[in-house]
Amino acid sequence: MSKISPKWMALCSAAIGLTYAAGYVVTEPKTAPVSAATQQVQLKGSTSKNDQQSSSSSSSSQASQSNTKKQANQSSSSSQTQSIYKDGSYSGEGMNRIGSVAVSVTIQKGKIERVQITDCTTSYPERLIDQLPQQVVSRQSSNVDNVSGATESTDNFKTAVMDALSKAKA
Amino acid sequence: MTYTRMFLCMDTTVSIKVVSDQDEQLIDEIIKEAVHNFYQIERACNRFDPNSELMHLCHRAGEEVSVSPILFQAINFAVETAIETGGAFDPTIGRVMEQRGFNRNYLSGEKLCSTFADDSDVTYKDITLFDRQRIILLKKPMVIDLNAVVKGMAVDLAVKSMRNAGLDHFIVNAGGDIYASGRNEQNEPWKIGIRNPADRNASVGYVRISDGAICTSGDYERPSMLSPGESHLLNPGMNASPRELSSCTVIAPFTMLADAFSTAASVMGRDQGMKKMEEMNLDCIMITHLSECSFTKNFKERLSWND
Repeated sequence: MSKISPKWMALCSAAIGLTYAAGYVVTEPKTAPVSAATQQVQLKGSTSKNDQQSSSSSSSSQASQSNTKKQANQSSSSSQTQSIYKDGSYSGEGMNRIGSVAVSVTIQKGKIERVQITDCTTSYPERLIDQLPQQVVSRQSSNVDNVSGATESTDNFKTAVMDALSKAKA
Repeated sequence: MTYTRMFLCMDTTVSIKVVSDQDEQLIDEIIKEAVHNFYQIERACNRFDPNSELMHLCHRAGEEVSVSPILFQAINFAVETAIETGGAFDPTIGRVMEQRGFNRNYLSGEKLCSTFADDSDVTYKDITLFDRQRIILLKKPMVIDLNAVVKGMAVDLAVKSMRNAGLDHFIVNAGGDIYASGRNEQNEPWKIGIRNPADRNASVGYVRISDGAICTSGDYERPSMLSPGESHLLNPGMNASPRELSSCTVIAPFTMLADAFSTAASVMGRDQGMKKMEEMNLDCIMITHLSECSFTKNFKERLSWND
């Protein structure tokens, strides 16, 4: 591999190093980005837009309800998704035209913590799947360790994730 | 022994494969931590989540906003890439991307419509960063799209946490954006194929990589559902998808660098993109829609290219 310029070496090293060092304290699930932003607003002493933007915290359903209206003009989405799930792990299965998949969705503090693929017959397909060009999941051909390609979407897992999330609804 | 785990994150499949003699439970814990890094970055930098730190920042144009190190570093890196490429890469395209149909949260299915950012012609020059205080000032309302940076950044972070936990030989693959650490189970450098855009189950060839990243940007996985022929790639100056290249693969010591510049070079096209890659000393292969491959000068020798 070639040597990149000191400038880009430094930029990358700093980005990874600083993010890594800070990662453990900043965005743990209990201090969601929202509340972090709220604290920072207050630290800066700017309060003019506080009620519009920083109170859509997941912990207070009242606040988020009243806030939903205020945010309606700014964004069509609300914070409803934040608190409708019960903590725990939920399995979901889905079939699609190239096979069956299973996922395990873990909810922590009402938020999706991770989505693990527990079974995936589509990850190493052995047949051609010409009719579904944009929906094929990651594969490995037998003679290489991995394949680099344009970023694949998660379409094949959509039904499995929905299945799991429906079980997680409070 | 090899262990493979797969997750969904950032609207793609993430797989982590480890070659190690250590206890499976320990490997599982290490992988879990690495995956946790992915979700941390997604949570902070996700433009598809109205409650992410990124979207909160986007709503506060005109204010100096203090942000987390994750968000600051991601935006800083995106802006530096924009400067380096003269705007061929531009993180302020988020609202345009929404309007082109890339507006759906892949987990909740919710669609975003950030009308607050509608009426301005924004570029990366409308973002000001204050490094010491970790403050960001957006001069206009905008939706920042960090999707060409954060996948690579998350891979790099996962690599760091796995190395710190004592693993040497592993591969992290975020939907085609890959970091290969150490060696494979045959004790050779990892053999990474580059997908043939014209034949989904074939590779145009493969490279050997040990301790390096390889990322591909292509127009064949995420077509726009609204505009036929258009893809998730956007030339900010033209407000259209770049059409010359089918894919562009960059190999670099860092995944975030390979990720951002494979996207940037795709937009720049073959001549300009290749020139930039040579100038930055990044290894690159470009494939046109006519299946013509172009390589940077020393690509084949450096990476033991096989086609």
